[in-house]
Amino acid sequence: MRYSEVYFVEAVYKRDHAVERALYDYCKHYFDNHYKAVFFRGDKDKAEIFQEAFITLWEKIENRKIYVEEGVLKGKDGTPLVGKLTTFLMSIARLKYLEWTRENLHILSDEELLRGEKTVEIKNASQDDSSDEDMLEIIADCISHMSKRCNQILTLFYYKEKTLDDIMIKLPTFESKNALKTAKYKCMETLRKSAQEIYRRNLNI
Amino acid sequence: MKEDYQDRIDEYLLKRMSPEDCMAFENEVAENQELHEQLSFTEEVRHAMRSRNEKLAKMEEWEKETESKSRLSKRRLYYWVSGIAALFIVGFITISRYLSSFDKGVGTEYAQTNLVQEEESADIEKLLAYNKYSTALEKINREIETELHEISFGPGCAEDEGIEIIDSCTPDTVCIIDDIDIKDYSRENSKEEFREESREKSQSRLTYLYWLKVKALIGLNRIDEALPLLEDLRRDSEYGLQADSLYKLLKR
Repeated sequence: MRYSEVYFVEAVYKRDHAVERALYDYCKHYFDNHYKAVFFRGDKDKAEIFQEAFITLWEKIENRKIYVEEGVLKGKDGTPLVGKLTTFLMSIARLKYLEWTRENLHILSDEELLRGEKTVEIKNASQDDSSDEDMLEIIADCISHMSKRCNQILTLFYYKEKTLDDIMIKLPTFESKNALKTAKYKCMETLRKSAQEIYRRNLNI
Repeated sequence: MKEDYQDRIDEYLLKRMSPEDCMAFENEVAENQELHEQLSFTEEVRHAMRSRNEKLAKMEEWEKETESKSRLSKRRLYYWVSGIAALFIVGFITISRYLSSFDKGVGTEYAQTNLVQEEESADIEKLLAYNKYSTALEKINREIETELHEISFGPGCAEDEGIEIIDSCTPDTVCIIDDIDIKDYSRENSKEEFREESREKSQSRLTYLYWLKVKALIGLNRIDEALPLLEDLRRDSEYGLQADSLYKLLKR
């Protein structure tokens, strides 16, 4: 069943599960057919970039950063979106790719590295557009860049609500509860510093 | 950010505090700005983690569904293609059999007589191969009787029917009897040729049956009965050489 993009945004905001799924399929189909215009990566990296881009789009809809007013899709400052929802998705994907490039410089070819230098400038410039991001969005973005270890600890603790004893069983590399507690605290601290830095940078622009 | 604050914040948010402790904590938060900020930050982290992980879980589920649907549709496609291929093959075999039987022409059903004889011979040979000499001998004797009747008492059914075919042949029909296309012969010549051919075939078959009979008799250790037959077969039959060797062997 085909929905309009306006309907997608309205229904996803209302947490309609069927439409969430339809939006996912719609975006995935578009992404698979157009990602090569943005980057060339293998299936695994491409899947990761799509995943992050789609989550960002989804959260923007849930947090009313993209919303519908009088039948028109609107974004930052209440201005109508330029282009379609899928175009917006691809612009998010482009930014995610730039971030991915910076994190994975060691596996890029010379050509990609040269391209990457230019894209870092673009990334820095594009951060000008994130001045309206609130702390929650910034934290969500920082979480997506967290180390795998921190991700595991914080997911088990705050999402699955496991006790430290349970987490020690799942992550047996921690020798003591105190060591785990310290690691968790450091993850939170790193997250807080990254988020605050981005927040301050946004305010300064 | 203080580590001891974090422990109490976690207990409070994950509802691991007693109601009294909760109330005391809330009062402290109202008065302590740093604690308040750290609590807000932790709440936002918790909210972000929940939101992200719920979405990831849903996306993983959708991917699995898509994958399983794709596998199912590939399997369906495979079954369809296999089914169509099987129908095609069966149809091809059926049609080609029908066409080949049609092409053989009017004489086909009568050429079945040869086919029956071949099957009978195959059966006798099988019986001999499995050392069922008695049963084989019975069959051989019956076959010999039939052939002798054909030769001695004039045209049998097959020959009569063959003559009928010759009579019914027209320039437009295909007339093949026992793999011989008789259209080239005149009607009378054809009948004579056909009769001669039939007799020769019966004689040849008889010789073959006698040869099988020899084998069956030897298998039953009835050498005295086999020797006279071997003597006949030695003289100018297609089994002459073999019969001669066997005769000499038995005579030793």
